[in-house]
This record gives sequence, C-alpha cells and structure tokens, in this order.
Amino acid sequence: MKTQEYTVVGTRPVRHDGADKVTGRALYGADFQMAGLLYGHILRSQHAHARIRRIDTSKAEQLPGVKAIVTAGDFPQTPDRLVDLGEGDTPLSYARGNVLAKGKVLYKGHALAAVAATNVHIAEEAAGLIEVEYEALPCVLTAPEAMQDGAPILHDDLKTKEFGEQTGRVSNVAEHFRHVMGDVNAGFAEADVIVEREFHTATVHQGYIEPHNATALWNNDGRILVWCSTQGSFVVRDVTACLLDVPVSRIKVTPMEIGGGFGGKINVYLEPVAALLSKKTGKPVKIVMSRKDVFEGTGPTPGSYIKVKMGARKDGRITAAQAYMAYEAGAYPGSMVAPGAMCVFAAYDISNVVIDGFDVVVNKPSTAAYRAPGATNAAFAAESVVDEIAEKLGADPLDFRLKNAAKEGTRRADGPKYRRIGCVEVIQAMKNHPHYSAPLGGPNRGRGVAVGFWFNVGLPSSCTISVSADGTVNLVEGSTDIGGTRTSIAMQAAEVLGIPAEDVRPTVVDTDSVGFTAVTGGSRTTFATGWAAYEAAQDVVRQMKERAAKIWETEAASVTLERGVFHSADKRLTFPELAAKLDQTGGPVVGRGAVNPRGVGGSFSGCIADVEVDPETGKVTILRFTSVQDAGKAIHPSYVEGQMQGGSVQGIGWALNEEYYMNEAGSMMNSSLLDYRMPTALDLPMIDTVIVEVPNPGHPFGARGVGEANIVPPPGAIANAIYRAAGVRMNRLPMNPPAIMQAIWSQRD
Amino acid sequence: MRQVIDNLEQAWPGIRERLLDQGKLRPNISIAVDGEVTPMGLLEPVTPSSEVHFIAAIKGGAPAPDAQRHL
Repeated sequence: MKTQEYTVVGTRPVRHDGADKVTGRALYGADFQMAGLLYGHILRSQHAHARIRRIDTSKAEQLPGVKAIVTAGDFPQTPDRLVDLGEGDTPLSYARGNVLAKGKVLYKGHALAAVAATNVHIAEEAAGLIEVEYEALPCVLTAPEAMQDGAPILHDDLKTKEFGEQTGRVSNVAEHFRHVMGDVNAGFAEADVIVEREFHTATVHQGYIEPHNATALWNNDGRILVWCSTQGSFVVRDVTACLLDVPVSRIKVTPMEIGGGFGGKINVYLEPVAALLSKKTGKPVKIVMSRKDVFEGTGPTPGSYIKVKMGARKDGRITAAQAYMAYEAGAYPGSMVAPGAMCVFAAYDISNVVIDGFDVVVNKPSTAAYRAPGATNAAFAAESVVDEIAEKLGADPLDFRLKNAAKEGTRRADGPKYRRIGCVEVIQAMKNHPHYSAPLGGPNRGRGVAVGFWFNVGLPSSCTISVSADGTVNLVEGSTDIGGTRTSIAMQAAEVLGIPAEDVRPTVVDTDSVGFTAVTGGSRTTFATGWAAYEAAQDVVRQMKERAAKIWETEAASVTLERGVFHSADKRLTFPELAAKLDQTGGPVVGRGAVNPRGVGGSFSGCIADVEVDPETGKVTILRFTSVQDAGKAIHPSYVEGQMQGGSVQGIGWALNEEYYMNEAGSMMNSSLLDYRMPTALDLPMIDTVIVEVPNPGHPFGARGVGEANIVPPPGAIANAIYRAAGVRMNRLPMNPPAIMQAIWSQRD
Repeated sequence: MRQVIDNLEQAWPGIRERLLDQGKLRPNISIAVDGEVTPMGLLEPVTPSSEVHFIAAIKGGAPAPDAQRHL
C-alpha cells in the first residue's frame, strides 16, 4: 500500500475539534454545570495500611450546607463474587473496596467517605469533620519486601495462584506464572558471553493534565446519568452498574472532553460515589479530584524488580534469555506483569527462554494501565543487558539487535508466532538515520539505543454515518478522543466516500447513542473504530449506489464510485449531487459499522538518545533524541508523530526524574507537579520522528496502533547513553542526579 | 475451539476448568489461533493444522489480573 493510492489517508488535515480546543470552548468534566448541582469531596486515608475501627460522620452531617455523606456501607450489600469489569475476573469486594474502603485502608489516599454539599469548600470542611478511628498496621511498599516471609499481609483472603493452580497459601503474591520455551540451560551452556543484572523501577504516574472528575444524577425515574472524563464511557457504565448493582440499561454515560489519560482513565473511581451521593440527595453531584488526589488515589504504573540473564555466542546470536519479574500491583491484584512478561524479549528471536512473573500487592494505590503497560519496565532491563552483551562481543549495538531481531514467523516466549511485523525495518531505519552516525561533539557525552514492542489490541467498536443534503456526513462514534482520533477515524470514512476529511463531521456521543465501543486504549482506536467507520462508509456507499441506480434506471452493480464521483456508463453524479437527491429516492441514508476486528498488528519502536552527564552533579541533559516507529500505515502522519513525541517525552521523564517518592510510612512526599518533576519543553530538544510503514495486512488501510510502543525504549536507550557518557551502568529508575552520582562514586570506590 | 478444549480435557483432565468458567472462556484469557488473537473465543473455527495458544487477555492497555498463560 503506497500513500499515493489514497487521497485522504496519509494527509494532514486540521483536526475537527481543533478550534474548540485552542479557544477554550471545548467542555471538560470540570466545566459541567446543571441546576441544583452539589459538590462532592472525598475523604482519604492518612495511613498506608490500617484497620478501620469506626467512621463517625455525625459532626460532618451537622455542618450547614452538607447534604449527604456516603461510605462503603452505602453500596448495595450484595454477596462477594467474581465480576468481569472489562479486565478479567475481579472480586466485587476488591472493585468496590478501591472506590470506598471497607474494613481496611490499603494505601495512603485510599477513599474512605464522600460528602456532598452546596459548595466544594463546605464539602472539604465537612470531610475534615469525619472522625475515623484507625488501627495502624505496618506497611510494605515494594515487591521484593512484600514477597518476604513475615511481610505485612494486605488481604487475608488473597491466596497465591501458582502456574494456574490455587496454592491455598495466603500471601501478597497474587500470582506466579512462567513462560518456557526451548531449553534455557542448554542455551546458556552454548553461550560465550553471559550477562546477568538486577533492575529496580520506581512507581510513576501517567501525569495527565486534567484530574479525574465525574458528575452523576440519580434521576427520579431510576436512571443514572453520568458526565465524566474517561477513556471508555461503556466501561464507566458497566463498572458503575456492577458496583451499584443496577442493570446497565439504567445508566447513561456522557463522555466529556478528556485532558489526557494514557491508560489511567480507564479505571473508575468517582462515578459510583457521585451516584450514591445523588441518590441520597436527589440532586446532581459533581466531584473533581485535586492533583494530590490524582497522585494518591488513582492508579500509577507499577514499580518493579526485574532480573535479566542473557547469553550469546561470539557470532552474535543470542542463545538464551531468562527473566524474573516482580511487579507491584498496588493495593489489589492486577499489576502489568503479564504484558511485561510478554514484551520483555519480544524484539528478539531467541530459542531458549524462561520468564517468571509475579503479581504482588503492596501498600500503594492500585495500579492502572500506562501506555504499553509493563513493557517499559521490562525493556529497560532487557535493553540494558542486550547493550552490555553487544559491548562485550565488540558488536555495534544496532547490528547486534538486527542479527537477533524478531521477524514474521518468530515465536514469542508466550507462544504465538508473529505475523508481519516491522522490527527489522525499525532497527534498519535507526541505523540509516544520520543521527546514528553524527559526531557527539564533546566530553561526557554518550549515545544509546533501544527498541521496544507493544501488541496493540482490537476489541469492539461501533459507528454510524448519516448523509446530509449538502454532501457532508455526520459520523457518530463512541471512542473518546484523546489524541486526535476524531480526525483519524473521519479520514478513513472520507477515504471510502471519496470526500474531503473536512466534510466528515465526527461526534463522540453517550452510551445510549452508539453501539458498544471499547476503551480508547491499547492503541486500538484508529485501528478498530477506524475500521467501524470504514464499514459504515462502505454501507453508505452501497446505499448511495442503489440510489444512483434508481435515478439512472439501472442495476446498482453497474454503479461505481471513484474519488467521490458515482459513475454508470456515461452518467455521473458527485457525492454532494447525489446526496441532494436522497429525499426523492427513498429518504435518508444512514450507514452502520460494528466490528470486533481480528488482524491486530503489533508495533515496534526504537530510539536513539544522545545525553551529556555532568560529572559533578549527575545531571543528565538530553542533547538529541530520535524516535522511530512502525505505524503500519500512518493515517494522519502528524498525529503519529505527536504520539511518538509524547511517548518519548513520557519515557524520558520515567527514565530521568519521575518517581513516587515514599517515606517509610507509605506517604508520597512529592504529590504535586512541582515536586513530581515531569519534563517540559524547556528540558528537551526537538524529538525527531521517523515513521516506518510496514503495512498491517489485517487492516483495510494497513494501520497498526501507534499510541504506546514509543514509550517503551527511551529508559533503556538513555541508560545505555549514560553508560557511554559517564561509564556507569544504571540499574535503577529514575536515573536522577543522586542515583547517577551514587553510581559514579561507587565505581570510583 | 470448544471441541479443542473438550479434547484437551480428555487428555489432561482439569484443564477445562482452567480455561472455562461455567462454559464460557474466562475473561482473563485470550485464544490465539495461528498467531492471531481471535475475538470469537470458543466459536473460532480451527483446522487440524491450526496452532492454538491460550494467552493473557489484554484489553485496551491493561492486562487481566490473574491471567492463565502458556498451557
């Protein structure tokens, strides 16, 4: 598939929501207003681990302006059971317990109670009047500590599942799994060089600019209306229904504009609470988190402990690889260790592999997805070891990777063989880029490379397209737009219809107004909702051909559509001309597309990072950074580049600065964006991008998802660059000045 | 795929319970046939030469919490 085959796909039209976004007219959840609106505030735990002896709300209830207070006891008292909230089986008690704690608090910031009042200041004051009697318990904050015998136990009912079987052993390890391929001992025996290293990565947050928010109205007719910031309106609907024990048909969720999510706005925190407060008051209730709430009460990505052992022959072939991966799930099971394990060696064709994964609960907020969840931690470890082996073998780091790169037919350790992938093409593009051979130009400078992978997913999506008399179309979809997907989806419809992208008006609607659509996540939206738009547009074309055939008194099969013009023999009608005749030929044309597509194409990404390390302070300056990624087919190249730049910057922040800095009592000491230092434009050079296009044969236009793989390689590449600049192999994220100075001093000693 | 699982159960009793809950594929498991995750689950047709894997379900960026793996 070449770009010139398309008239819309591969171009760079202005985004449909651009004017509203840049003029401030776009409506976000915090903007939502309604007659009689009450304001909510959540009381959060001051302890990282404690039994809740008593919650006394009586003083708070007496405060003028307070209308209602809810605690976990206000949830329906339905028996515990396993529920599928879109991410697999979860005990209902865990799902409810993270929204409002019952029995125990499991992290500092754990929600305990919520107040609704006539204004937010009264709600905050009332929350301060709620008396909570705790029995403080010792906390445990890292996976290795939580796995030790005698560690404080978070859940008395959590028993370790090992290799799929219940052990009956109560512990903080929710699960231990293993992938095995080939004979890893034989592989290491064959190796001439073996490197084994341990790595630690800190808990980091997605850092979306817009805090979580939700407004709910439990209406007199029993329906629950929700307006919120979410990556998945149907997830909010389904989870809220489950927690409140009402049918999904009783809930309508309207997604507001979303100010970033990166995986962190899939989970549900506020909506059921706002609904309970609304039920008690009969009024709509809005809750908006503060930044501190976001850091302490929502899901970051797991911190991790990873050990990687890898062996290679002198000829440059990797013979064996082994990984031990323990990820912090936070307060409830469900860390990102599973995809981390599936990605850790995904870039390489290795015959002998063992990967052990451990899902470990700790006294930190329950973790959530973050852009290629689990893969960045894994790639930091694996790519550091790959780099060290290449160095020991005297091989160029990219040549070594090319020699071992995964390709079509390579089997991953978790089982499946790859279909068409672009790993080799990405590495080759890195090698060909002038950045890779450019002089570094000074002392204390180094260049590092790394590659990474993310699967991408399909999942259901729905779309309808209605044709207007002026030849434009209205496209209705259910995917909340985080990264410009209104436009990338509209472009795929426009391509089929033969009209400009600007003539497609995309609208993201509520859960009553479109068919089920899974989350905006997993790099699926342009792929899957774009595919639904493609199908809806095909449906429109089929109906329009029938209308043209009616007008021309011919068979629909004889009508063709080429670049927006319908033809049959010597007759022709442009799309707008035919659209103007719909009323006379049978009425409106509405096309529909509903898909649960297969054909998902995983994406590889690589980056080249130049750094300068100040040997006196340990400060790392990123001098130059190039991101390379296989997009399959870049539907809107500017948005692909934007994703690559965004993912790179988040990866740089993860590498150099970001961490939940916890004290021994389990309190996050840097829960503001002043202290939790994310990189800004002033900290970074221009992120250069190279889009590689290895078309995905499973998609009508060859698209792969591009939202995630780009965050995977930066920490590994920067670690490798730091090694060449300062001579120290970093084994811990973040690689901030104290960590680097410690490494330099340790080496001197 | 349902038939495949029935056959697996005969060869390795107990495996069905690992894969299915009340006759439905556990939500934390995806089926990959010939390298591709299928959205059809137990309804996915297979041929005698098909290669089947039961892998961790990944739904929109997050994994299932207690995924069964490589069986």
